[in-house]
Amino acid sequence: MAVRISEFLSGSVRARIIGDPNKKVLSALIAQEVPLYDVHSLEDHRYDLTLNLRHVWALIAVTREISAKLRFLDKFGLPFVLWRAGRRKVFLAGAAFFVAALYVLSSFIWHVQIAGTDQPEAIATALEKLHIYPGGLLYKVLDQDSVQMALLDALPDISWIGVRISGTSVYVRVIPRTPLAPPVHTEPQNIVAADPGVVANVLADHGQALVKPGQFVPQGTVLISGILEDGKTVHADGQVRAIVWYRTDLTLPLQTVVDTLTGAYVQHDYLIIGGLPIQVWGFSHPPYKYTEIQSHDTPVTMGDVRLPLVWRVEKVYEAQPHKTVWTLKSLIDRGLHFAAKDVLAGLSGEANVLRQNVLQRKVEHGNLYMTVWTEVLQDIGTPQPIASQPAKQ
Amino acid sequence: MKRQWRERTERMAAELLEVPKDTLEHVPRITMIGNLQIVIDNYRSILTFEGTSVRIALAKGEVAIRGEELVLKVIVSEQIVIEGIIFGVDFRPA
Repeated sequence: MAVRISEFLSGSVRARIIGDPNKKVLSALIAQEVPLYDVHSLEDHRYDLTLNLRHVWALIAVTREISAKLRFLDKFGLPFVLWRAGRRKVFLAGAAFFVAALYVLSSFIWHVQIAGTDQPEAIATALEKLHIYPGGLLYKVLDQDSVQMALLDALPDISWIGVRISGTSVYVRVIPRTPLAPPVHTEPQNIVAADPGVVANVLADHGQALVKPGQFVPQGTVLISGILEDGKTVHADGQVRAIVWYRTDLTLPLQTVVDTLTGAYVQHDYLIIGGLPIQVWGFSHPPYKYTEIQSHDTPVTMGDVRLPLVWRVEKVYEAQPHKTVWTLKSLIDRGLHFAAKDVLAGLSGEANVLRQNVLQRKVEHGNLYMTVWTEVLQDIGTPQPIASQPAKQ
Repeated sequence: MKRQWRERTERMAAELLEVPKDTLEHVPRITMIGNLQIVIDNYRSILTFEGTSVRIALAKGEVAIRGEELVLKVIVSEQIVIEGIIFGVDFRPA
């Protein structure tokens, strides 16, 4: 095969020698150690042979010396293909364009496939930092193993990642880390009240419940004891829901002004050169009474090089102020709503508001000052470790 | 005289060391594949060549191949490959 390819590249010629009864040409070529192929003997002192293009001049010289006739029957190989192609310039240009296009198009990443995870976006973001995204340049991408190591470092939630770069496609296979079962707590503890309140119900999973529904408990009361009657200590656990009261002080303005945008805007484009903005596009000054300006800066880059230029797009929106004058009732409703939200925001776990009451209110300096009382049903239990000590005391 | 002595020593050494005989330079190696192909290494020159017979000069003597539709498939400096239907191979001493 290798011989065939080199033969094709250098080109070969099939020739017919006429009028050489003693095969002198053949003998002379063999004497000159010219490789010959497919020598066929024909009638009337003729024979055909194939030889490499670079030995053609030797063949012609020998044939002249012996005064035999020479006829070329066929020619094969790349030199002849090129010679023929050279006469068709457009075809040659098309071939060159094809090769160039193939090269350019195959230097991009066309396809990224992520498998084995339910959060491909997280992987895709990590890949993007390694220049792997559809449309990215392949020459910026490290080799498979380095990408794999970098991803393993960047993503703690995965136990293994396989990256295969094949041509213009990148295949990523992820095996997520299986979360460990939470450790079983065994150290002895009590459940005590974190807030004072009236117990609504007690659900003791472990330990001994010490309070009953309807009972008022101050802060720090042991609700579920980890010390059993026989003196053993356990890891007390459970839920104690109780009614807890909160006071919230609020200040609400009687009038509020909200700007809304009408949708009309004009755009001004600036080129910032070394901190100096130069307006390059959009010069209209709209007759807006109220405006809101939003600007977005994009650094100008050339490939990877960041030029000392910033392109700023500034949009001037027409705004419309809306003045709202609140009635006292709606303002109190808002206050109650805010108070409930404020209280619940500070609580973890399941909690719901049972009742709310306005304790006092006062309108002064255009504001409503009010104090709200909120009754919340919540889990007040919090763990408190029992210091290890002898069971009998 | 000197050449004869050299040949004799070479042959003796070859026999002593059990070297295959074709490794000696002046001995041609002829390989046949059925009656379809014949490969001759270490030939000297081609004496005659027709479709029905080929005579090849060796270091000592010559070999004549009889057959039909004989074609010299490859001729390079060390080897010659003949294809066709071969009837016989005759050796003639010098």
